[in-house]
Amino acid sequence: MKKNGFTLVELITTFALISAIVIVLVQLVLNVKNTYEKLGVKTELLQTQGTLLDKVYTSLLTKNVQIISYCGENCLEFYYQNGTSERLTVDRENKIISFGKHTASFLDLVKISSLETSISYAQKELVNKEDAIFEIHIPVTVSTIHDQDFGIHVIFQYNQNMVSIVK
Amino acid sequence: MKKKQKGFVLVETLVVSLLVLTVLIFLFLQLNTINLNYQKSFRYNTVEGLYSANNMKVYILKNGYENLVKEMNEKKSYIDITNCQNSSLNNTSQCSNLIKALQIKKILFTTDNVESLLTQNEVFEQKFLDFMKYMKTNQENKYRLIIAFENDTYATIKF
Repeated sequence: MKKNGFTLVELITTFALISAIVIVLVQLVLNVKNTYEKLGVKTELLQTQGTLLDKVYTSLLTKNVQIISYCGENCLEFYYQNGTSERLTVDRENKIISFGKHTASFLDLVKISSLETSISYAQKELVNKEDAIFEIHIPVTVSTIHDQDFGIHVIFQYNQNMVSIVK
Repeated sequence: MKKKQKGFVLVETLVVSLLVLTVLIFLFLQLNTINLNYQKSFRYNTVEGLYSANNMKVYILKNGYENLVKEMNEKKSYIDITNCQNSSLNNTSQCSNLIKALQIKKILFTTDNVESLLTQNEVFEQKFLDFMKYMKTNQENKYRLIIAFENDTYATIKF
């Protein structure tokens, strides 16, 4: 007599194996999608950070800063030896940080904190060497990317006799 | 009448499914490895890290670079300047302030070729060694700084 169909054991085993394959496939696809989305956001933020940092450091290192002045809660103005000046401003509401003529707009999903500064001095004043540090911090964070700050953190070494900080 | 064997179909299904499952798991693991390495590379030589390294380079050039080179020529493979207490450096309080402001976890002054450092597993963390392996070295510039930051990023700059 001819037997048609499959046994129960065969069916259960087949379904179990196919389920395992589908689960692994779905995990793989979700992983790739998640990674792709996160990397897109991260790349853009790192590019923006890099460009801004480059602009700020290039000016500070090449233009002979004479005065750093506070022009508001989220504003710093740098005056150079050649008579020009540049402003670093933070517009938290519109997610914009500008330095001089350069403006960087951030994605809506970022959070920009207030501009913070601090100064530290070496133990003794020196004549022709850097003996103080001016720190500028503007943290920029994204809720979906933990433990990473895409903000502006500038460390400027200067000589106290050559650069004035005006509050 | 010939009896038809049914057991053979289950074996076929098992074999094919196991094969497909193995290939998928292999793909999944490979993708994870690629992703991990890609994530790692985001932490190497970041723009912020490079400018921080440049800050330290500027400090060293003005405060004891020649002394460090002399010390290295006494057949040392590296000088650890994290604590700034190295007697070759001047103005060590500026150094300490810089290390703190730049959030540096470890900073080494080494030769451009770091092969001798790669075997020192008990001295350096594995992540630091991984970065050193990743660095491209040549003999053109003689010395470099290798820096590990508190935020788990790494940077290197040549003199």
